[in-house]
Amino acid sequence: MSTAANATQPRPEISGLENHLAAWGLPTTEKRLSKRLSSNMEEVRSFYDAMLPRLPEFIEYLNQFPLDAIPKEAHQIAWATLAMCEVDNAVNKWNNITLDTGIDILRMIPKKNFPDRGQQ
Amino acid sequence: MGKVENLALPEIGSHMLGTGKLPVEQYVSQEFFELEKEHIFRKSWLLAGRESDVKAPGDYQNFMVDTLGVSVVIARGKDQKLRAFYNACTHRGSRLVNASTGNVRALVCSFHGWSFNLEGDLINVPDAALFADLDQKQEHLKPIHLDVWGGFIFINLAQKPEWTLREYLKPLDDKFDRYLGNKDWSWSFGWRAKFKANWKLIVDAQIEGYHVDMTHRKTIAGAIPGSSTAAYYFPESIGVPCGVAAYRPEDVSRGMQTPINLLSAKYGATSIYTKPERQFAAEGGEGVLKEDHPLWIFDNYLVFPNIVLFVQKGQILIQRTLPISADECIWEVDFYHTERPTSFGHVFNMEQGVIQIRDVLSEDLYTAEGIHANFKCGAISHVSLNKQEVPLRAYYNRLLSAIEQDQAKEKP
Repeated sequence: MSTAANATQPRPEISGLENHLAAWGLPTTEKRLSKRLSSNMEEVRSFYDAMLPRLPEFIEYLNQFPLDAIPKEAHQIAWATLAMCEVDNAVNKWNNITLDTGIDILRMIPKKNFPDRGQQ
Repeated sequence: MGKVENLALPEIGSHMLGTGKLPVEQYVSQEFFELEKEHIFRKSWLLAGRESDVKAPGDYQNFMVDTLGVSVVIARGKDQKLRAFYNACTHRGSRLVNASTGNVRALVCSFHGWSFNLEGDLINVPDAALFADLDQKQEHLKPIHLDVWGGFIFINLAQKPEWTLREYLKPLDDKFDRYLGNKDWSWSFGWRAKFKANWKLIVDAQIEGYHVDMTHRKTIAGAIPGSSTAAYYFPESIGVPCGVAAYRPEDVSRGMQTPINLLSAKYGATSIYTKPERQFAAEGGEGVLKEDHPLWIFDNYLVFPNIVLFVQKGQILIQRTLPISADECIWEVDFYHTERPTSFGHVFNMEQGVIQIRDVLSEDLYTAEGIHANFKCGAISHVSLNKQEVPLRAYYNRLLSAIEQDQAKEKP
C-alpha cells in the first residue's frame, strides 16, 4: 500500500468539472441522495455524462492512498465519484429522478448499528 | 462455465402443500392477532441481537417486542455470561435502561436508585431501612430465556420454552452456527421503516421468487430471473418452515449491467446482482454455501415467525419485522460482511452495492400497505398461490400449527 508521501499518480486534471464536483461532492450517502432528489434529470444527466469518462482514472488515483490518508484536496473527487452510484439507476434505468415502483426512499431510515431503533 | 448438468437448477417449487386458495383473515383479524401475541410472540425464539454487540462485561442492549409492550435488557455479566431480563425495576416497575445500547457497571433505576448487578441481583436500595420487610434476594430482575446461535442472540418469553434454540432452528444445523458465528462478521449498514400493514405481509414479500421479474423490473430483473429462484419447505421443522435459493441466469448477459455496475464489480463483491470480478472472502462455509453450483448466489431462510435470513459467501443479510399492532409494523434490515473496505475502489463497490440493494428493497416494500388495505376493506378474501410460492403455504401452515399446538398444551 502506498502512502500520500509516495503517491506516484498526480491528482487528475479537473478543469471543466469544478461545478459538478462542487455540487455533487457531498460527504455522505444521505446528502448525495438528497442532492439527487432535489435535482432535475437534465442536471443529473449532465453530471453523469461529464463524470463517466473520468471515473476509472479517478478511482485508480484514489486507490493509491490508504483510506484514512486520502488527501483533503481529493475528497470532493472521491465523494462525487460515489455520487455516480446514486445517479446510476436514475440515468440508466428509470430516466426519472425517483423510482416510481418503490416506497418513498426517505422512509428507509439508515441505521447506526444492529440494535438502533432511534428514539424509543 | 461448468458442464450442463452442473447448471441444472433445483425444482422451482412444489404443489405438495396443496393448491387451494388461502384465506386472508390472519392478516387483518384482531382476534387472530391476539392469538399471535399470546401463542407466537410469547412462545417463539425471537432474534434479538448480535453477540458481538454485547462483547464486554457491562455491555447491554435493549430489545423491544413492541406489541407486547415488552422491553428486554440483554447484558453481559462480569462472568462473561449473557443474560436477558425484563427492563423493569422490581421496586415500582420503572424501565431501567432507555438507550438502545450502552455499558454500565450496574443497572440503576433512575426513579429511586435501586441498583442491580449484571446477574440481575438487587445490590443496593437507598435508605433500605425505610422498607418494613424487604427481602432483597426476592427482588431479582425477572429473567428471560436467552441462547446464542450463529452469533445471534435469541430470547424466548415463555416461562419454559417448548424447544431448545437448536431444536427450533433445525434443519439449520451446527454448520450454520459455525459459519454465521464466525468472529470476522461485522455490521456494515442497515435501514428501518414503519409500515401500515400487517407484519407478515413484509415477510411474505421476501420468501418467494415469483415476484422478481415484475416487482424489480426497474432494478435487477434479469440479473436474478424469477425462473432461477427455487422455493423449498421443511415440513418437519419447528422454526424454519421454508426458504428460497437464488441463482444467476445461465446467460450472464441477462439483466442490465450499467457502466457503473461493471466498474464497481472490478473492486469488490458487494452487489449481489452483478457477477463480481472478485469474490467476498469467507471462511468456514462448508455445508452452508452451495458453492458446488457455479451460479448459486444466496439462500434465504424464514426463521419463524419474523426473520428472513439471507446467507451467501461473505455476506449475511437479516430482515426483521415486528408488529406494533395488527395493522402496523416495524421492519429492519442489517448487513454483515467478513471484510472491511481497504481501498477507495472497494468503498466505491460497497456504495454501489448499498444503493442497489436499497432501491431493490424499496420495491419489495412497495406492495404491503396496498395489500393490507385491500384485505382489510374486504376487497380480497382469499389469495392464490402457485408452486413457486410454496413458502407462503409453509409459513401459513406453521402459523396455524404453532397457535393450535400451544392452545392444546394449555387445555387441562
